[in-house]
Amino acid sequence: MSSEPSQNPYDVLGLPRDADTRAIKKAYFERVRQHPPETFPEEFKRLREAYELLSDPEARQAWDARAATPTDGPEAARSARLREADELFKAGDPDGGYAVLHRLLAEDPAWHEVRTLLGRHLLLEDKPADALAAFDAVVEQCPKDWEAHLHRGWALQRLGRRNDAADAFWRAGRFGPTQVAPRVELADCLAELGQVDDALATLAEAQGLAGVTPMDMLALKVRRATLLLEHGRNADAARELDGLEASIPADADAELRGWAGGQLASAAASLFAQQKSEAANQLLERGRRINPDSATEVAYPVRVTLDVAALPEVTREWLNTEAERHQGWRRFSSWVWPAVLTFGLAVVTLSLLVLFLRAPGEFDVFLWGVCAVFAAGFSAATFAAARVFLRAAESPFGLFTTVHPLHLVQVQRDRITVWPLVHLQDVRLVNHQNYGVYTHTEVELRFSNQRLKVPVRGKQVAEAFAQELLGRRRRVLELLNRGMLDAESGVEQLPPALLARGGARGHVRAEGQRGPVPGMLAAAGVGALLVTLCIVPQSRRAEEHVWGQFLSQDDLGATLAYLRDRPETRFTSDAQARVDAALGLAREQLTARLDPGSAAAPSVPFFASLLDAVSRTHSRRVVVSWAAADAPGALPPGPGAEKLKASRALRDEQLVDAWQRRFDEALGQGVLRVDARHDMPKEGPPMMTLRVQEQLRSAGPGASALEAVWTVTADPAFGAAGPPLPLELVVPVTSLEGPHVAEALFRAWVDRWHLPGTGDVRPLLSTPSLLAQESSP
Amino acid sequence: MSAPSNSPRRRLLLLGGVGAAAFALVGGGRFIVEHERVLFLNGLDVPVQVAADGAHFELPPGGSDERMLRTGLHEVDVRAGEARLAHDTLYVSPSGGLHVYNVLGAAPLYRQTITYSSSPQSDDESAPPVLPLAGKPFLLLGHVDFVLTDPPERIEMKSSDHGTTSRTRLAVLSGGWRMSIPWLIGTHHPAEAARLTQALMHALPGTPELEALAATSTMANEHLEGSFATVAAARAWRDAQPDSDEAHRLWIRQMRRTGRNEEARAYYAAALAREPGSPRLATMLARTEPGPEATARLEALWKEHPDDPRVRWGLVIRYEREQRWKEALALLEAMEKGDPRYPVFRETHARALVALGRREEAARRVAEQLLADGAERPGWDDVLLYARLFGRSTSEAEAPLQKLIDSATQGEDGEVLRTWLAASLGESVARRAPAGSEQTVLPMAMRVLTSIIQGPEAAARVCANIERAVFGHVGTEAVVLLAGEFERLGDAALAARTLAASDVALSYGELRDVVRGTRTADSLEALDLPERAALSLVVARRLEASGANADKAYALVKQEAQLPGPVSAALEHWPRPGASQKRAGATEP
Repeated sequence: MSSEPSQNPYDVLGLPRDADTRAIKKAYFERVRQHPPETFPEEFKRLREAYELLSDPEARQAWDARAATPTDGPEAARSARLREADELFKAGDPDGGYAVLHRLLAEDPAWHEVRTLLGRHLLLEDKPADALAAFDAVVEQCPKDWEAHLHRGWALQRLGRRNDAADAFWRAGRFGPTQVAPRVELADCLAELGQVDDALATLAEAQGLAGVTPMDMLALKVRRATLLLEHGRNADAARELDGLEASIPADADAELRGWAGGQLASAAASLFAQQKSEAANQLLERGRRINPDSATEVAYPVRVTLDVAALPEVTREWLNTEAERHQGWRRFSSWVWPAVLTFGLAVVTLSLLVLFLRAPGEFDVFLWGVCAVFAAGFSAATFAAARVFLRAAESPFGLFTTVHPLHLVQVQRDRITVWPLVHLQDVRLVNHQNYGVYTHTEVELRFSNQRLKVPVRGKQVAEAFAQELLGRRRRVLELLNRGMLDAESGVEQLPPALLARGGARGHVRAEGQRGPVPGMLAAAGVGALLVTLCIVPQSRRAEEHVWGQFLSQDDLGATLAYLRDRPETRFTSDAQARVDAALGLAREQLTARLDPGSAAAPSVPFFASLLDAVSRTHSRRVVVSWAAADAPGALPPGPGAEKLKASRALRDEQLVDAWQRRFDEALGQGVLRVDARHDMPKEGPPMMTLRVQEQLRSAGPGASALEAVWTVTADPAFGAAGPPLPLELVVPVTSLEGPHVAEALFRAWVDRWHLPGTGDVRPLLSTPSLLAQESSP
Repeated sequence: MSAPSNSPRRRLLLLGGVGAAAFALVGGGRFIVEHERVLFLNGLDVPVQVAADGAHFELPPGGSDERMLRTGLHEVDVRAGEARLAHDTLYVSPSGGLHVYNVLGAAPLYRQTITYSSSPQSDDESAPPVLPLAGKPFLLLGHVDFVLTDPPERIEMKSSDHGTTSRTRLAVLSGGWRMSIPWLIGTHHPAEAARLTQALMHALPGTPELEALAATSTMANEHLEGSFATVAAARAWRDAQPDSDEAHRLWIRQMRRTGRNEEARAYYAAALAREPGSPRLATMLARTEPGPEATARLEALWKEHPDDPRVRWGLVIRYEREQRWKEALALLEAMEKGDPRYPVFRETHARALVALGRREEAARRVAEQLLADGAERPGWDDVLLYARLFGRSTSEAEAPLQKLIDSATQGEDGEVLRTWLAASLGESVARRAPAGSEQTVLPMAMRVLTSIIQGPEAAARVCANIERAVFGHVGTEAVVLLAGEFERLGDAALAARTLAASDVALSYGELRDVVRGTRTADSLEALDLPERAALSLVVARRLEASGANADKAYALVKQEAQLPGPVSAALEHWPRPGASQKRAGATEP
């Protein structure tokens, strides 16, 4: 409170001396409506000072006491001297005031009104110890004066002696059995001491006092509810507030409702000050139900976004003013970034769609699902970005931040974000530097549970901004506490009731304007649909890619693998044609090489039948499987076993090499592939398996000579063009060991089937050089 | 300042502009991504018209053109006038890199990795290794730094290169397909050479060189596809060019190698019966006949056709085989005066002179021929011939041998040649192969030749694990000697492998028969004197090992081994075989 009104506040507001707080408030708002601050600033100031004085019980009591002093006689002279001291205090000369009071006490030490006045001014001057001494003296003189005990309690409370203060308040209540104030103070003191139940009981006791007015009763209920909310007893508080609401008759006049709402708003301000935003909003919500007429006594969301189009004309005008003041009109940079974002997302979305359409890989159902999700997501995001871009281009505003009497307001093109200052709990300034050079200050704000960072250029500007925010918050809470927020200048520019329309989502949309979700869903659907339309052409392209890759290998095996893996594609006929062309070339080679004059000419039908089988089975793999008569586990133990094992492994390799050589000589390289049961995933299952069973047997009944035998079978069996099977090859030997046995048996095989090499005395098996082995050191 | 405003139309135009820009960017990006560089090359002698992806363009002979083709399958049609040369399905992969379409694979394309170093000490003066890419019509290469352009001498190094970096270069040799095929054969890519030849024969029928190249490439591939393929290729060449003596000679030689000489003889006998007066057929028939019959046929023919060079060539060979040196010398002296094929017979001429005791004259005449003004640059074999006549691999600075070495190496370091000469002459202290040589074949050949001095077992250890191409630098004399000795020692596998690696006109069966003693070396009409000397040495050792008197056999060897070489080295250094050693012919159960 800056100063007291120089005029009689009752006269300024047109009130009788016994006017209650409800009447004071009603009169104040009527006068303010008649003299709005924009038109009558001086009158408004006078009205507010009068209202602030009368709405403060202590100030009103002091004013009443001063005004009640007689104007003539000895008492009048004493009163005049008291008024003189009071005037000196008001004139900013506390030393003069104290001097007058001390003189008066020196003249009449029993004049306890002087001590009371002295104590009150000492309290105002924040000298609670001196005030306590003054009040102690008054209590000594008037031990049953409840007011003296009350004053003493205040002083003790200021000194932090809460227990003593509670005792003093208790005594005040004892000596003032019908007084509410001592009990309220006692309840507050007990609550501070943590004795919440005792405090609540004290307030309940106050409610039961004889002569308690209905207004006091309502005030006490509000106090109890506030106390309960402060200590987290929300359910009890709700019940208390229900009781409060029920205690107001349905046909209660607007003044009563307004007064009750004001009490709740006042309590809410206290809770906001204690950074208990949620509890405060509960009170304000209840106050809104009781008094729907108030513009400011409403629950304040922590943050609300509002479309500019949703703002009333007055708010838009205010925004225009602020935009002009902050140079916050739309600029190139205001819409270019949304445009860039839209462009970027459009590029990504289109790229994805083209990628899905043109990707060479093969997609399965899961992958298509993933593609659809991506396309839908990016299409929706592109739509949202385009929407933002269009709105940014439409809105006259750019980006700026301004402070409303009740809120911090961030303007973002077509949308504003409102941060009610009642929730502001913490402000920090963080200076940012780049290589030691100051760049900007970030004002970090905490609104209840949400944080906001506002970059500001200039340290002083940032400090001024922070100070302005804190000052505005303080003022908002003060005004809310006194129920004067409705009269605050500028409230109507961004009325809190408008914020309440945001609901739980905290967003106020313009009338008739649709949200982005339907459009985004539609865009996502279009994206997913486009992906679906990509499936067929992409599959064809993947098919082409796979075929192209096989084609690039320029190898018969690759083409056969393609036919095996993909027997029914649009390239199957091309692949078959390539295979037939390669086999045709091999046939030409076959007939040219194994000419009728060559010893191997009879084997032409055999090789030709193999080429036919390749064309038919799409496999060019021939397995030559050699096995000894005994099982591998039956190898004799000892060092000989290893030698035999190695010899048998070599036999496998030799046979594979020798057969590969037969095929290459007859057909050319790369036409048929021979292996010995090894896994060859690239070549697929074998077209034919030649099984060779080796055994050692007696040359005849009773004969001591031995002979080595190879029994050859084929799977599948040859047709009429093939050589007869099973084939038994016999060579007389002394043992199976040594390279000559296999060489002789294989030569016999080649001769029997007239394979390339028949009639040639060259070794047919690739035997390691014995001479090199023997001569190696 | 008043509030700015935008009309709805303007806003929509802005949005449309953003959308159009996005479409343009994505479309442009996809165009770049979906189009790859394809380099078209023409290694043919004729201009070709190429149609691919809707584009039609012409490539001049030896020309190239770079096109951007969209990724995917393309039908590429290549024509020379009205004739279609090739029709390929080309797949341009989206994986990036450089795609190359080399028409029929004819252009002698190669890739080279060039290493740059900031340190002058590490500069390698030798040419960077080359990877031949000819023979393949379509190639997908990775990143190539220099495409058909010369790389710079030096490049800027980055700090991350740590002083050394490399770049890839794609280049084409001059000469077109005529260069590609021999080049592929020479760089041990016979399969690619054969494939390229086949493709060219289909595309350019009637091109005479192709038949010869087809046969040559098939010969080079013989170790993989066997003698059936080479006989077929030689026959195809013979049938395609019946007037080509080379085709006939090759076919006869291949038939002999596969043991089908009688078939060839019957063929020419029948042909001569159909065309009795043909000197060509008569000389070819003589090639297939036993020595005396062949000599008689050629002498009769010489009387009828005294100017026919083919008959003279045949007679020279026959006289050389029969060691009728005087008759041979008379013909050779005549050939020296103007026969274009005389260089082929230069060694025979020299041997005839040596056989007649005129070794110094032979050396002098060889040196004069090789160092004469206007003479072609001497080959290594020419230098070796002179060194054999001269008797050693070293000489004074101004001596003919040194001049020949300088001429053959064209002023470069002749150390490799000298080392090879020393090894070929069987000098006991052969030089070590110079370090750092890029060629791996030549040092291995020197190892084989050097190992001969150390004995057959040492040579077996070396020969068991070397590449086939090495034997091309070893010489047929050494090959026959080693194969025969391996066979005599019982290692038929190594003997057959060694023999197959060379192009000597001797089948394994013939070798085996001679080593076993079931046939004489004299009966092998196709062998020249040094090769026969090698076989004779093996026979002499077999006799000695069996306990028989081998003096005559050794005397024959000394007579046949006129000049220093592997046989003379083996005679000098190999230990005499004892009777207890392995007997030749123990190769079968």
